[in-house]
Amino acid sequence: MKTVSFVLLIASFMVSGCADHKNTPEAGELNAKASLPADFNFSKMGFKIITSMVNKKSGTMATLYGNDSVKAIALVGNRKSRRTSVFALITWKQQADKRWIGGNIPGDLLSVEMLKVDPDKNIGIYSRFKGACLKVDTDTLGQNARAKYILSLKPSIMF
Amino acid sequence: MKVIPKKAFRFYFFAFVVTGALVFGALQIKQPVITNPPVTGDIQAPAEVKVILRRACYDCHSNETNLRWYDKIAPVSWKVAAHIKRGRELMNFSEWNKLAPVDQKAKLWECLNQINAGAMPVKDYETVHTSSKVSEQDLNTLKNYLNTITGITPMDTAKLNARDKQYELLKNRATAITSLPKALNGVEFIPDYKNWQAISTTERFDNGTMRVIFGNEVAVKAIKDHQINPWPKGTVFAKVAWDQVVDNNGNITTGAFKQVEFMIKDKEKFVSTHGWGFARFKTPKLVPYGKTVMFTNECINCHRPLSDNDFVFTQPIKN
Ligand code: HEC
Ligand code: HEC
Repeated sequence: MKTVSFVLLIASFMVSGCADHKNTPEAGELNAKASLPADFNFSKMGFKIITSMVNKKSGTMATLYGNDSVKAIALVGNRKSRRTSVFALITWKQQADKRWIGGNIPGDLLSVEMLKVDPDKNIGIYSRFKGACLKVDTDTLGQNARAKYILSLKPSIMF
Repeated sequence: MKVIPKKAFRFYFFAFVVTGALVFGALQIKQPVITNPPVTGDIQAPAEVKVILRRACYDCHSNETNLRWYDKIAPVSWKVAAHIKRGRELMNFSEWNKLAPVDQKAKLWECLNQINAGAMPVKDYETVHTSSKVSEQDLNTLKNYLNTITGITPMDTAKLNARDKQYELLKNRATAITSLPKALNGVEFIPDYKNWQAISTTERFDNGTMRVIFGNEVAVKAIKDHQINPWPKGTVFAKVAWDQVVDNNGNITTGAFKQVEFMIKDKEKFVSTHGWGFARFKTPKLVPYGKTVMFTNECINCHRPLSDNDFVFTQPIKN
């Protein structure tokens, strides 16, 4: 019996020593490739989350943020605000959640799009930043369509 | 140095062996009784899936336990009995029809993940019952099966209606709720979570939901300082789940609000639940989840494979 339990003890050490963590992120790791560069100062812009979505065809996922004005109107549906609304749409390539088979999470950062809508002048100012370093995108093609798309997004329901 | 005389050593050794044998013998007298209650509703799955579950899981998660002689020797038998009792309580493939179809599916995804994380079958059992090991190929068999039974219909009118009804509810809700709902472990609903920072989002194709994980100020600071294992006292996560609404172009947006869940870090207050206060509030009425205070076992059992990561799944995004 003693030798048996000894063998079991050794065996259990062996098992726990090489527990197969199939390529999961290290404990305590951040999602670095999905993070925004610190000098972009996104967290200081005072945005609140409005909604999130996925595009299966392009394998991307995105989160829409808005300033307080957007948030205030978002809660009661997409009505027009009398204050300046600022939107920010962050888009990532999707990656499989290595900690949960059955989930996809943000992977590489693809872009941040900003849209400022001035209610008096009734115009929107759109800008786009691309890639992991969020470089300004000078290509203006398709900006109107993107602005329209951002304005068409419905807020997520939260209680 | 005092040397024990050879004769005395022999005596002590003999006494030790005899005492050991007596104790061992006595242990065998009071044996745990393991019976196999009737199988009332065995899980229905393809043969190649069932054969894996039978081989690796049925000893503890069914009423068809097959004990080997070495499982019946005390003190091992006690541990085995405890595993079986607890295993059956939590999940029983022989009484599978007691679960609603969506819960059956969710449990199978949980099984897949417990195996993948190396948490199931129980390690010391697997060491002895080597045939219970689930190979990479077995895991793929389970994964493929689950993928075939999981899927989401585009333009699902029931889901669209459920969402639109909730929009109406939001618009017409005059004031904020006055009394905060409270879970059985004392954790209160925190209405302000909506104004926190999002630290990640997930598309859960296993159960057709979208999620946003929010972190309070303490959590966001911990991310900034990269001090997240363990998370500091005062950290709070809120995770919201919505139905997925899918259009014909593969665009998924959030539908009806299903629930919000919280995890609050306080090692002193939530000693019995690994330092986290868990709570889940369901539907727009924010009904606290759980029939007894033990509801937190469910949370912990699924989060346990992340025990070396402070029981947290989310890999936070730094903004
Ligand atoms: C030796 C007995 C034993 C075997 C074999 C075993 N389990 Fe378990 N299982 C347990 C015990 C005990 C728990 C409770 C975990 C705890 O409290 O530490 C559990 C918990 C679980 C849970 C969590 C259930 C819940 O509702 O919280 C899942 C899922 C699970 N097991 C899946 C499996 C799968 C899949 C297999 C086969 C690959 C398996 N188990 C094999 C004993 C076993
Ligand atoms: C079947 C498995 C499962 C169960 C049961 C479960 N969780 Fe989770 N939980 C997850 C997964 C997976 C994530 C990662 C985010 C995602 O994809 O949904 C998560 C994430 C969370 C988070 C965000 C922080 C983190 O760990 O990433 C909170 C808060 C949370 N769960 C609360 C709860 C509460 C409260 C309960 C019990 C009432 C519970 N969970 C039960 C699987 C589970």
